[in-house]
Amino acid sequence: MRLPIFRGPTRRMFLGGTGAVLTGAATAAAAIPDAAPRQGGVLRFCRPDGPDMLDPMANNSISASEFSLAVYDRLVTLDQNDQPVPQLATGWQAEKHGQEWVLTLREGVTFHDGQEFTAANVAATIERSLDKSVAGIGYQAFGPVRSVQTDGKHKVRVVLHAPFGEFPVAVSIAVCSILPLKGIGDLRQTPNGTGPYQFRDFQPGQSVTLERYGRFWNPGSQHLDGIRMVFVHEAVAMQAALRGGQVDVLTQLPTEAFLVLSKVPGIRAYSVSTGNYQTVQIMGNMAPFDNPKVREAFRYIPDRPAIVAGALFGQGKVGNDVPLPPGNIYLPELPQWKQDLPRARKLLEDSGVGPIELDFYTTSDRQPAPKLALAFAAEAAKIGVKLNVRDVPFTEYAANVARKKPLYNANFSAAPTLYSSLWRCYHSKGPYNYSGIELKSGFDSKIDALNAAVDLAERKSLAAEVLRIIHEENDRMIPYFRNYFAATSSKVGGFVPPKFGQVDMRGLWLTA
Amino acid sequence: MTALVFICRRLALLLLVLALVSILTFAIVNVLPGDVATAVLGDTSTPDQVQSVRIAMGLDQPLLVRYLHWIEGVLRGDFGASLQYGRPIGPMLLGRLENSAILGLITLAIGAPLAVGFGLVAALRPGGWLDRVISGFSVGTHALPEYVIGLVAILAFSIWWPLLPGSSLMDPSENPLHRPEALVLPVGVLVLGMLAVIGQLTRASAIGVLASAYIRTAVLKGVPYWRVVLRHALPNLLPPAIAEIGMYFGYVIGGLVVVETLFSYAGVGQMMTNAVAYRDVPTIQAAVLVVAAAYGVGNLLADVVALLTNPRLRT
Repeated sequence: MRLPIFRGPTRRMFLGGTGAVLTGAATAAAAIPDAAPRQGGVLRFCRPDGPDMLDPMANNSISASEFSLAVYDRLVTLDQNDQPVPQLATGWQAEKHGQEWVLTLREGVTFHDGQEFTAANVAATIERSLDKSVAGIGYQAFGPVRSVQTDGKHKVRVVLHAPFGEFPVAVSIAVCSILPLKGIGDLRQTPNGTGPYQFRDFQPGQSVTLERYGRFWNPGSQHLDGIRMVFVHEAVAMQAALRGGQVDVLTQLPTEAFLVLSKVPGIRAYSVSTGNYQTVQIMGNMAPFDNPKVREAFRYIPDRPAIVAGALFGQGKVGNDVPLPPGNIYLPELPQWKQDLPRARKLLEDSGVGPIELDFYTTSDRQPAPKLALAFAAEAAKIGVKLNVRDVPFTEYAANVARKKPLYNANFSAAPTLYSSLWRCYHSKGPYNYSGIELKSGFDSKIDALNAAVDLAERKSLAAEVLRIIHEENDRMIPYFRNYFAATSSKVGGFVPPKFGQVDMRGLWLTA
Repeated sequence: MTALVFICRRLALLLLVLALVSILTFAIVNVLPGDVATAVLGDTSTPDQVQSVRIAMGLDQPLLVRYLHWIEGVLRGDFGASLQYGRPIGPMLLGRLENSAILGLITLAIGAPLAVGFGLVAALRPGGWLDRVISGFSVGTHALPEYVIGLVAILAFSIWWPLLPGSSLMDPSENPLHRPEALVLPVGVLVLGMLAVIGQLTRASAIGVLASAYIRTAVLKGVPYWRVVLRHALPNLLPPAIAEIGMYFGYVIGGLVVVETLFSYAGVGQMMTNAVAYRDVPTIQAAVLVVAAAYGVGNLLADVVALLTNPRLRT
């Protein structure tokens, strides 16, 4: 069976995005329409932290992903409705029920060092993502790939271990940036993409300087002479830099800084609902959470609306222990988990595990997770569950807490695919299923079927089944979805708050 | 000759201290939980992914082998490459060192005479209103952490009364001296910290010296009081202040972690903060070694100045 070819933004893919709903108001932006794009100027883009490294596949920070989005291209990008539209691939076609994908590649594209973009670059990139020693966080990012075959200079066939209906959406993310064949092992020092801006300088922890690439294949989306990413750790100093005209854009603001800036004349402040969430990990492979009654009891402990009001200052949405935010097209009707302390106490008594005293690990490097932990612990204390909140530095958290302790906070970004949101997080073989348990007998096969399905109605039906099981059985509580915050000066045009946490700077311009 | 022997001895001691510092730093960083592989991969990576990256970075080698490899490079003048960024550490560190030196030396040039002057003025009339104002101010600023003073300074001078930039962001090729306005707040915060310690030290020392017999004799002989203070008292109250300024030399070169991070100033302190967060051991090692050397050199310079200003030390 051959599935139709999808080309261009007017022909939509059969899949809907999973990660975000832009229902929140962009508080000031709506009132100030952007003028037509203007050419020229250097955008000063400020964020709290710099890239952990510049390799677009191996890095593990939003900062580095934003760098990648400006310097590199992907095979596809997503439109406003999360549908794939061409970037380096001009067309894609599923074969064998989605187990093989054939991509037609754009001609006349060059890397910043002058190398021609061909199918060999795509093959080298995907093959690199299968090598866990170099791919880092990008390991298996292109999906369950078995092999890649080139067919001439501008056609490539990706063969998968199993049908993967979301392949075109999955490859739109920053870690799937297409890399140059020559120098592919050297990208930490010499970034080299096909994107609109080329690398000039990196001062670790301080700044990244990019300049306009003169031979970019789509000059219509390239408005700036250059971009300077600068990193200011302190929220007060960030605010001062924007107000004082030292920078043009602030992204990833703390809630408190957003609330202040939203009242400052001449500044556009953005608070937008996203699918980014933080969790309370109740690890199903460790005592006492290997007892389903204890897991269920814990779901009745938090006062979720109070946590949204207190920890997020109201800038977020109540979660329901499923990883898709309210309004997502795949989300079925589910009863909302609500605080019910008597019921929680009864379940704990019935579980037979006896009095519970546990360390609850969190890290201040992932705000506002400690507030969530403290609020949770305070409610738990009301039914005699003693949770000692331990705030540890992120490095210690990554080394000794994640996957190793029974109770802790974790952080997740919205993702555009069900493969990322569900398969990778809940399948017992998924890399982000921290406990490695199968939630219920037969759950893995259901989620495999969802991964393979290509028809939207079938996907919705399978997703509903999977999400119901996750809602009832999971060992990852999701009390809230966090808003994304940003602020720009009034001279920045084209700023669209990102759905998946990373700003794509290629659409931005300066009005003066 | 005695002075030369003294300096040579101190230099030899400094080398020994640096060797010990490098061993201690290496040991401490490796005792801390996590390494650069876990820091870069974060909590989402699987244990075998972490192990693969660890092997690729050479972190599976025994500690002693890694240390000896590193020290061998240092002896050849090569600090190695950052595990996090894969770039040579030497050039990165050199640029940062230059920036920190500019910030630090300006701070010393302004702060040291000001602190000595304040201490001296306060000591002229101990318990007087001027002494109370200066001492109260010094103790007050010393009691507040630099972080708090810095935040208040940003709020006051960059947000409420927008006169100065709240961060010291600069182009990579830009010399901080060409952006004096970006230096005002960080230098101001550092100078306030110096005023307290050196000023109070000078004050205590000056009160003792001004009460001594030879000062009283000079006054009774009719020498103008300002001349007595500057010509007779000052040289004798300087040694403790100079020793303290020597210690500050190391601090302002590499210890400005809080101020550099708060003001986004591209110095050694900010580099170290990032390296520690990512457990980038070679970068931490190199930065700590440079900072330790700065402390050693600062101490040495203070001792040399003391030798030059106090003839009794030269015998």
